[in-house]
Amino acid sequence: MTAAGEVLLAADAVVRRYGSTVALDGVDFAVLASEVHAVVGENGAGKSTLARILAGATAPDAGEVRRAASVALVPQTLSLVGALSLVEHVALGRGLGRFSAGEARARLADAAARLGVAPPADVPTDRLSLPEQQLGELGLALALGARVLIVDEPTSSLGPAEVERLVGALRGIAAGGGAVVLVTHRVGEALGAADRVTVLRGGRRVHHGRVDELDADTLAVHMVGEVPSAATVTRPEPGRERLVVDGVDAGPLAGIRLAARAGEIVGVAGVAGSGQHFLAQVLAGLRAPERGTVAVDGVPIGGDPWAAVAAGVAYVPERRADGLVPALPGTDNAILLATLRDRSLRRRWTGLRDRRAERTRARALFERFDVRPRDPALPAGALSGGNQQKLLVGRELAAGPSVVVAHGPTQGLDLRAATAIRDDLRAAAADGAAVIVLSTDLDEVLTIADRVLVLSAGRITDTFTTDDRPDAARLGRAMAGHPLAESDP
Amino acid sequence: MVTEVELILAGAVRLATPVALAALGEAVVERSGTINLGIEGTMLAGALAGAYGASQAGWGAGIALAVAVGGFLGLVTALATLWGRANQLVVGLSVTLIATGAATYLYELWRPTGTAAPEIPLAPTVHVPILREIPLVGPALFEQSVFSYAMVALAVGLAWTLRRTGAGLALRAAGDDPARAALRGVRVRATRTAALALGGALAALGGAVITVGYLGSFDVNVTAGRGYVALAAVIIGRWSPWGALAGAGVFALFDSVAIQSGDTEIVPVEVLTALPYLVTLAALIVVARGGRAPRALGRALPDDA
Ligand SMILES: Nc1ncnc2c1ncn2[C@@H]1O[C@H](COP(=O)(O)OP(=O)(O)O)[C@@H](O)[C@H]1O
Ligand SMILES: [Mg+2]
Repeated sequence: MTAAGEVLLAADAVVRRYGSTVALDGVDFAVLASEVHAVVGENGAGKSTLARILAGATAPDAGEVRRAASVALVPQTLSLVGALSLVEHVALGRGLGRFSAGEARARLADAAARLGVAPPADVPTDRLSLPEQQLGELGLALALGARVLIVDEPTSSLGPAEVERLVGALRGIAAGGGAVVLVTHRVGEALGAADRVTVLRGGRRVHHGRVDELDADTLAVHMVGEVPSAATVTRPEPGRERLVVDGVDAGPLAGIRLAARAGEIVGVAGVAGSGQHFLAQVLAGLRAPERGTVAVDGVPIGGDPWAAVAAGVAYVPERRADGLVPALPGTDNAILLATLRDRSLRRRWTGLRDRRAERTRARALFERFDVRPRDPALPAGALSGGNQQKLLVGRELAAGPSVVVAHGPTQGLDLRAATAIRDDLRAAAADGAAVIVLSTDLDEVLTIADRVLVLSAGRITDTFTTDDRPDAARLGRAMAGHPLAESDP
Repeated sequence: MVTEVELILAGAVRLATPVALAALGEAVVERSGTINLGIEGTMLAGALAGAYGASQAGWGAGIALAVAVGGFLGLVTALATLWGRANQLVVGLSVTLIATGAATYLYELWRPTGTAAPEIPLAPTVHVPILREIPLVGPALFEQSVFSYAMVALAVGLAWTLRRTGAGLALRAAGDDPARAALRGVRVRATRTAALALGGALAALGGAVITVGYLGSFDVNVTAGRGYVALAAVIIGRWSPWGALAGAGVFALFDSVAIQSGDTEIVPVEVLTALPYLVTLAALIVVARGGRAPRALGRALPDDA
């Protein structure tokens, strides 16, 4: 047996880049025997990358990982093979000979006893519910005998009771001489479960230390960082209400009310799972609200994407692949919807596509929105991420929309492309559109929006203007789904 | 009447054996995530290799040669699709075309035109005393070639292997979700390669069973599309070894009916010959709706597997 305090797993100055993104920028980390160590940070801070590097699933570009014990990773996106049962997973990848289902079952039962829940072990895992899969994968890691368990956002699909049991189980592993690395963006979870905490922001370790020396507010400030000062932009006076959402329930969304005026950029901030995706789809007419109404210039959209298009709603989806067809040339992507609306793109008598007009239109769009290289004949998939995004945003803005719904429009882009897209969205607002920017990245919202709504667990929990923003602690707590301070309405 | 039914059933088991052996192999291949359209050509290559080997050194040598040739063709397919990342369907069809051409050519070399067909010693038939006297099913179950019994043993063995061994788990994981299987320590490419080699060997064995097991002669049309029937049998059988036997059985039963009633005047012989294929097609259309194929079946290997 080893003494408590011994380092079981450590990383020294690890660096990891993805293209031009620096996911980890020289991060030190160490987890000791008998502790639960939380790794917290906002979306995109580099938590999952660190988890994968610690587990050896991803190699660092620089720096070193030291492992003094067996390590298992339960990744953020689960890694169970759907056709196999949990029992079969115990034997998978461990030799080709006969395996003992009885022994595997016993090991799983032992792990389940430690976790306090026993997901069905003998049915194919794709028949399990999401929480069952999540707990099953944890049990599996225990059954496989890992001493250090790295769990990446393990509670994303669990209810409060299950979370409590899970935290108990993680504490139990630590008490038994093992170690747990708990990756989470939830402040409360880190404070409730961990002995020590490492805070990542923008790929750097910005804080580490004992949890009992921290409170929720301080931790939130570490996560969110200095809130950037408001950009000095002159904002046009907002005009008439163009988008009105009244009492909308859809999926996790409950009683959403918001209105956006011509010339205004409204930001919707919220962590992953807060319901942004549903809200974006409802606004774009892609999802019918279960209750309530969405109207553009007084015309109801319901769940009808054509009605939304006809009303002039431009939609920049979160995943670029939902907005562009990578295999088709830039020309086709540049005119995708316009060709249905716009007669000047069709031949006069036959109504067939007019390729020449299309090319002219595409070239103009490439020019206006600075898509490089200026070659609309290239497949959209061959452009860099930033230029794909410029093409997508450009197409949506080209026709002079009434309402713009942009979901994470500058996510993962380099500074220059992000700035260009922010400028495009501002120009659309200045031309009289009501612009909605939804993002899990607080900075993204704060740098562009005039007014910010905070979405948490399907409800709007906070709202403020960017010129009059609250402090980081309150923001962090609202984003992280913490109960808001009493001062809130 | 009784003897006719006995003849039909006994004939069905005999006719099912080559198809079932190929289908068992293909079931393994498809469970690992690959579709091998080369099995038609592999069967023909096996039929010729078996006949040649048997004529030179007895039926055992013929079987061994056929299995080796089939395994080799399976490895070639694996090399092209898994390591060379060529399209599975194109490679499979190429193997069938090349094997068919090569078999035709080599047969001409072996047996110069005009001379008598070579002597091919047949593999022995098992006669179980007393039991084979059972009415109706006696001859079908207890008076068959060694290969028919080998086929059943193989199905039992494969069903057990798939459920109860690490190799079986690796195979199913590779065919269901290669990326996650790789994360969990399965060597996906090696697994699929082994499956293709086994599948090729069994398809060639099926071909050899036609020539060395029953016919005692070779002809370039000897497989008559039975490789494709085996592919259908795998789907009809929902990718399980026992299902593959059942699928082959459906085809063989009607093949046997067609052969036994070959001299009736009522139905044209062309219709009778087509009957087993039509029934297999019908079964395929009915069955192909339900059930679940290996999820990654036919897809190219992901980069991280
Ligand atoms: N496989 C990948 N390819 C490209 N970029 C990636 C990849 N994984 C992570 N990133 C980028 O690295 C950054 C950190 O991501 P991640 O570690 O997943 O953050 P977190 O888990 O804290 O949300 C993000 O900007 C993300 O876009
Ligand atoms: Mg993550």
